[in-house]
Amino acid sequence: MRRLSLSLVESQVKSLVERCCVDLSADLLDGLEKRRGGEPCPWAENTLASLLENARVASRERIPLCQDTGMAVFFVLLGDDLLFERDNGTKGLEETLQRAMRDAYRESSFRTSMVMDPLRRKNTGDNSPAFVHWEFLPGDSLTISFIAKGGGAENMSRLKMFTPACSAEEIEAWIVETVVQAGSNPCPPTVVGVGLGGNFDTVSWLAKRALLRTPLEAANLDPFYGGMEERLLKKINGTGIGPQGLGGETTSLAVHVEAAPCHMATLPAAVNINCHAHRVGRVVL
Amino acid sequence: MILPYRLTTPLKDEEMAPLRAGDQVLLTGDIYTARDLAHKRIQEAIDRGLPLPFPLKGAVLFYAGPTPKPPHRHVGSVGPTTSGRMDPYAPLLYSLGVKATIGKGPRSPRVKEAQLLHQCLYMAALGGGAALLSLSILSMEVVAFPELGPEAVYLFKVRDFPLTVINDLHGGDFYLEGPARYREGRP
Repeated sequence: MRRLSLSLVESQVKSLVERCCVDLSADLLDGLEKRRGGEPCPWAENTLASLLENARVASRERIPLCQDTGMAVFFVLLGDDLLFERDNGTKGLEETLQRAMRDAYRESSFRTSMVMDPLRRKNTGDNSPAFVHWEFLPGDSLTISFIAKGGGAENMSRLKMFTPACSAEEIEAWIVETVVQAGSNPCPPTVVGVGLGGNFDTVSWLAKRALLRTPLEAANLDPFYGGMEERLLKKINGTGIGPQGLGGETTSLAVHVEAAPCHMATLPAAVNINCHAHRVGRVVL
Repeated sequence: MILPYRLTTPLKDEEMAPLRAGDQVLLTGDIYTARDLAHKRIQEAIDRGLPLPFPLKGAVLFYAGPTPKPPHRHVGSVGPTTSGRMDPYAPLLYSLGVKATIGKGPRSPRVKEAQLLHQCLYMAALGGGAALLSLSILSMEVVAFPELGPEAVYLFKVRDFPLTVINDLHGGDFYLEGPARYREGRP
């Protein structure tokens, strides 16, 4: 067993959250810069230049890249051989994550965007609760990934239960259609997370988890899905939607597909879109 | 490089008329933020004949919910939210004098009709460009519904706030024309 201090986890997670909402990651900056250089549409090129300028201003002024500092989502990979020292006064890891998130949002003056109830809609005032997804694995490491997920892009998500008779082409066409329907709403150029397989609940989790993949240009290790990602990105960037939906080539920066086993009667598919302010990061402890 | 138009609030019809979908605008003056819950409250006030939190006549509405003002700066970050969610409220607000709205994303056919009828502009600000946009904001203050937090109505004093005309006063729509112009190879 390895002992791990929750105080250490808390301080690391807090700075992860603060960093993610202010500093665009190097792979995103590279991706935007590369796309700006190759963008054939002049006003789209200007838009991409403005997004890069926005990232510079946020970093310099230490303010959020986007006013929608999002719902806080954690994906935790928890080694079975870990023993936590409760040296921060919390009851454990979940409470530690929640408090680190709340403190980061309050101290950094991030917007609190969560409401208590979907119909009565009172702001919780501290962006709580964060959504926490757990996965367990052998060993003694702890990996915590964070995504600040904006509401506008989240609203463009789609889920469909296909049947096994459907071809890969039909599913790809549906994914592209999802991006076209979203148009300018999710603040393109977007990152497109796709989940295939699993069941009704895990397929949307897969689609969101797909957004975590770094670096941005990394392909699925399975060449079958790597090829699908490449085709999808090409098709999406052939739609002409462009940055901010004002026309141009750069509609998406990356498409990440994650697949999982499913029931022989089913073929679930889900799309979770993220905006160009792709605020994703991780700490490994 | 085509120079941007300069507009100052209150907006005048004769200054808005020459604008075309796709034009760049630098806006100076007063703009009011209102998003989902603020719209619901304004609608309720109108339905019940209660006084409104700010004069709608001539107003420019910004669909946005800013971050709080950090200690080291005069304003937080602010950029547009998705306008389509405010479509159910927009035609009534145009009929009561709102002259322009600012957001991101397309408007419904019903809203576009109302914009033409009442001669209202719809402009987009840089979505996800909140840090950059904040440089054009001189001050922010809550003017209504403070209990809504980020969904309260804020008055922003802006100088040269950068915008793109989406729906002009003549039926133009840059969310249709921009991608079409690019696809047809005539950027």
